[in-house]
Amino acid sequence: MLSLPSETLHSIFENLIKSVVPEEYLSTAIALSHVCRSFRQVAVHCPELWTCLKRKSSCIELDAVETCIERSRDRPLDVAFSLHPHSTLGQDYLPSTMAGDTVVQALLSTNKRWRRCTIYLCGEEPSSCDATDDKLVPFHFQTTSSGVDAPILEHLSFLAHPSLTRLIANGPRKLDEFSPISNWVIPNLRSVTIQNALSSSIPSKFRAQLTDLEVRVVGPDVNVHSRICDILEFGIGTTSVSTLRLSFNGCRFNPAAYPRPKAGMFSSVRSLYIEILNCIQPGPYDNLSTLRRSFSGFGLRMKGVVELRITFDVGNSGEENNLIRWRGLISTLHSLLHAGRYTVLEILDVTILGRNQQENANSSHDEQENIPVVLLPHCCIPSIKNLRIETALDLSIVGDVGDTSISDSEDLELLFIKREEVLRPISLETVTLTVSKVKGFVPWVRQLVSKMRETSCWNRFSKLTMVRNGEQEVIPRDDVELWCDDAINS
Amino acid sequence: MSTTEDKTRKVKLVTSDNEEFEVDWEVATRSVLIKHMLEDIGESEEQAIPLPNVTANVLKKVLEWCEHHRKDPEPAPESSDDNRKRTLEIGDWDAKFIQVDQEMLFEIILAANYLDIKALLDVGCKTVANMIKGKQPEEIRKMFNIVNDFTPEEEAQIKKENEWAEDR
Repeated sequence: MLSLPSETLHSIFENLIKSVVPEEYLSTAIALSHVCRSFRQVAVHCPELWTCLKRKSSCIELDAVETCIERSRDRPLDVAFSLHPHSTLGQDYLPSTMAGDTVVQALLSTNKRWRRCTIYLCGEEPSSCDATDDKLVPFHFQTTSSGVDAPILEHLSFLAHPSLTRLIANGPRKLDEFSPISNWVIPNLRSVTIQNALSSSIPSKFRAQLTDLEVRVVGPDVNVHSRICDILEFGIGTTSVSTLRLSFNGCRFNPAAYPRPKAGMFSSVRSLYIEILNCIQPGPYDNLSTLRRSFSGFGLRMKGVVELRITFDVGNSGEENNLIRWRGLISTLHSLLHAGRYTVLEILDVTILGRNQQENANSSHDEQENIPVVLLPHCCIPSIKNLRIETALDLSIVGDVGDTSISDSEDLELLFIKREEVLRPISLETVTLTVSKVKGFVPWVRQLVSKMRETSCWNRFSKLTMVRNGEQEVIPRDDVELWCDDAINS
Repeated sequence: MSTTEDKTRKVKLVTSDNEEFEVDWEVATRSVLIKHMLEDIGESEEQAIPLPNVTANVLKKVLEWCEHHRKDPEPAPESSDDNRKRTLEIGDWDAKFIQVDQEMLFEIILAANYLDIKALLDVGCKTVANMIKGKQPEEIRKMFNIVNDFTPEEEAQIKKENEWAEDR
């Protein structure tokens, strides 16, 4: 190892640092520079290693920040500011405290080199640095950073801890008025991530220049529906957002609250990502209507969406998970697609996870019982050409609920599902299944073949691709039925 | 720009331990060093290219890689702005190719560096980066048999720097 020339070692370090998340830059850089003298020599002269600067508290970080600024030379920087709204409770803020915050001053002095900036509103987390003076409060930051001129800043993250949900609405100085970037000069801002904060934190004057928007809703205290309205209203004034990512994690969907969004349009969006993980719906409400109403009309507001990627978990059979299960079927996919009314969608990419990591890593459901069954009507979105489903779980998929013995013809949800089962031409050209257990998918594939034949569009279909344990099997159209027979018999 | 004549041409390479390899021009010129040397010596097919920094067993391995990648397009020059989201993933064939003992891995990296085969050097660097990723200094030392040669003064500075990395 020591015999490697320093430029090669430099290249190894560059490769390594570009593969880790920014939060791990500093610890990686420090680990590499602490191996031996030759490693250290290369590491301290590898500017890329030192390009992530954070201000968590001013305790002992000035040395670290100054060292990073020096060692990163002229490279673009990732900077992060952690702000503490709780420190402002019951007291006025003192601008003089900020003026003396040398770490903040050091970071702000590098603004011409910022490529990514994160502003994080912390919750009441235990810290080894508890002095109030060391906690940067939001409105101090807003005042001090008002002159930021960051010509190469491309990405801004505005993140709030889940515990701040109530504070955002009811704080002593309302956090929904907190918009530190109002006076920033950021002509190259293209991408924004908002977590648990309101879209008003991104002033409307910047909206026309965005191409990527990610909105994360985390925690049980957030009113999911008003956040969805907020997102849709953000669409007003955006003309170039082509990728929209929405993530809901650990949220409690409340079917009682459905504010109506203003007529926001995201007409420029081409790729839409929706992630629903660990979400619940308390109470004896109906699942389908909750999710369907939450995402109602997305496709009408985003008329240009051609690519939709959906990630969701299968929950468990507990009562609280009736958000995603309807009469034993996992109906998330159906609800999102039905509600969306996407008209030009061509690519549907579905990832199905377990509710916990262990379940994802090694699914071992009993062969006959407790295997999740996912509902995906074949004709749900007739325009889809390419469908990909990936899961590490043992699960089954059904295209329709069939001739159920359900006699309650007044069941609205059943009527909605039945509406999706109406036979119509399907445009599917490719289906790719990355699954651990093939059998659960064979009946669905058979039904697909039958329906496409019935509507005279089977000749549109090109190939079915099965991926198992990293090995890929491509089944051309003419062999699909034979493959189904073999898969069942084997 | 290579001509049809070039593609049928054979090139002789001689290693540091005096073993001679005859390979296709297209394979040999995956190496920028060899390509430039061939341009220097002109049309002479008889003249062997000496490679004093590469042994036969390493060159054999390197030529195996060059043979597999003989049709690959020239790597595009890297843009400094476009290299942010890089992964350590390498292709399946390259991953199997580079499954060698540590000594051979470093020999291949050194040879790729000397012969100026950027894509192979990249495979080697990513492999080592993968081995290091997420490891503490002591683990890296142990993995590569590296001696901690810091002076007491440097150790003091290191101790201080360790506090920066702690996630408070």
